[in-house]
Amino acid sequence: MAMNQSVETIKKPRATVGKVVIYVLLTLWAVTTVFPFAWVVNNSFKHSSLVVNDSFSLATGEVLRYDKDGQVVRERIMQDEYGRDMYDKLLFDADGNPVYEGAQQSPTINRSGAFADLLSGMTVPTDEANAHLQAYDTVNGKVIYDESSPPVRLSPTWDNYVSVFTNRNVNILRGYKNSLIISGSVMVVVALFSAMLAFGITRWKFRGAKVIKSLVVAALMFPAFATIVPVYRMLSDMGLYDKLEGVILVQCAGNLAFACTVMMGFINALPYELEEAAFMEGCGPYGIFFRIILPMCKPALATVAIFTFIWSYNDLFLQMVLLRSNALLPVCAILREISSQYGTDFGMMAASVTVVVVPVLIVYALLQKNIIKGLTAGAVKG
Amino acid sequence: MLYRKKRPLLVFLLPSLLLMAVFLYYPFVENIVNSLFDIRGLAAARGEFLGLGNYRRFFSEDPVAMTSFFNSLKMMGLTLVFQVGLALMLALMVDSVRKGQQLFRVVYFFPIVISATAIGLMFNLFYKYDGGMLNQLLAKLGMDKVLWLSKESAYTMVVIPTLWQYIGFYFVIILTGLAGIPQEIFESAAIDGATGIKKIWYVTLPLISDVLITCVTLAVTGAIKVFDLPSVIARNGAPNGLTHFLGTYMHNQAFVAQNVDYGSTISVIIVLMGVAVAQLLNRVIARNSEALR
Repeated sequence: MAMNQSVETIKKPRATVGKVVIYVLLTLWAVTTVFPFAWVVNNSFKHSSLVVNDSFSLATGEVLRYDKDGQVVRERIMQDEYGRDMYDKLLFDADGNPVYEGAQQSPTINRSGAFADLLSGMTVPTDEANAHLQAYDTVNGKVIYDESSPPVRLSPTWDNYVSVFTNRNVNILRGYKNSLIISGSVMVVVALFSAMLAFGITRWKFRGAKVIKSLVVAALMFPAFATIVPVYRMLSDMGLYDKLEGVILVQCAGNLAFACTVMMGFINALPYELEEAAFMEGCGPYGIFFRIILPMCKPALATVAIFTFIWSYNDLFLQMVLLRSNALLPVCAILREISSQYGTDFGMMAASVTVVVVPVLIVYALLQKNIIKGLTAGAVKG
Repeated sequence: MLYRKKRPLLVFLLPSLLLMAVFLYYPFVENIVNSLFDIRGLAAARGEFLGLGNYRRFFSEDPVAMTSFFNSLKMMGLTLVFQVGLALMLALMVDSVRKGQQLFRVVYFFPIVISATAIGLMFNLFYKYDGGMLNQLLAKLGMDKVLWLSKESAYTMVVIPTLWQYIGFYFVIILTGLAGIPQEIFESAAIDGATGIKKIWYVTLPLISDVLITCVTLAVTGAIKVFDLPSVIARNGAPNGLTHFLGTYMHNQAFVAQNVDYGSTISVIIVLMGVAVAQLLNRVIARNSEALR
């Protein structure tokens, strides 16, 4: 004991320096996982022309413009007594320090039509020519003109979200609906069916049980690529191509192998006594399954459900291959469409990533323990 | 006595088995058969029997196929070093500190929950030549713009987010393994004078070898299935098919070019490669662990 203590006292100073280094390194890695998303969320509140020029600034109440010499000018926005924007002009000198130039009133022109157009999703002012001439003040529906430069408001704008949600070609809200229908059904079906199979396999003694078990394990190794062409042709023959039902069926099959493996391990370890008691009371196998097995399987079912849902929700490959109609595309496929059709609209791209990431993030924050366990526990066992 | 009637058994087994038979086992076999025939078009019937002709074409007549093959192979190596390796280092570090463990777990893990498609879109915004984040950063540092998705660098740029996204996954698995090591072992190792790197090499690593084997297998077999990120960041293997992986090239051949038989062939090669690599890893690991004992 004494020796142990002396070892610790000798090492104490080195250990603390090491600790600091370790915390620094760990924090650096945390930055690489958090910063990209923070960057995207911040830029989703800016106009594309601003994202392109100055993506690191916070979306705050400033106006950014370049003067005739190409120098960056930042201006704070104030409002005069009539509610018009008034700029408190700040110029930056060569050393980057702000130079106060005194208050001056900006020319603002009301154009009420601009925001109305935006809302209807007809014209989205993202083309380069427009962006250089004018900047949209979405809150007041004004256009700010300035001859020296294209001024861009740094105040948070909802424009990008308006274009994401009102776009007719790529409708993210509908994508959410489709995703929830697909992944929700897959989750329920896979959880129920896998529990049933696991119950049958572990409780009945019959020839062929071993074969089925090894078939299930073998299916774990089948990548979607290896089955997709025949599946595609089959779904076409059955009239299920480009139908949500088709994707659901295929994803169910694809997730069952993993789910069955987890459930078999879990149900096998459950004690028999309760079931025997229930049998004595006159309970049949169906009653035992629904009243005893399923309630006891809650933790394993949660693991299976979370894994299945996330896998299905994020699976781009099957969505891309088995669906074609715009109206049926789930979120991931929609995102891919957005990146190909609106790849140059940085603001809209940032907003669509945010729209897809934030709900997942909220769910993750609430359920993180279960999610981490659900995604890793199964992997370790399988 | 309890579970003797066969009818309920059938009711319990059939739904899963039916689904898997129709959408997994049957297509899997059919796919292998398809790869041996000439099939032109997604709706076309099987034509002439080609034997291994498609496989010959893959290995000797198709430069893009070779690119995708080696890209996937390289990807496996990279996942070993960067995913499992970095995850191991992070896990060892987090395990050695007491405060903030839970926070690091949550933060490191969360890219995994985000769809690879969204991450691909995000990295598109980083890589853009005009106004992309990386070039803006370079401009701030007074450097010239860089074409990130050029012929030379596109592969690396596609691989980086793919590796980055899943490090947290292996990190959590390894960290769980580390937490399972009884504290007494470290105490006795400390008395024997094992500290720092020595302690990690001779005490910690052998104790979590099972966990590491799981990670290595998952990482390598996962690397063959890479699809989402490359297909969003570099479409159709842009530029010039240089960023094709086996998965994206399979999709391209079967569903874009409609060379259905050839696409099937590539998918069979994906399966074979997965099985071969898993076997190889098992052998290597078995031999090494014997040597350790």
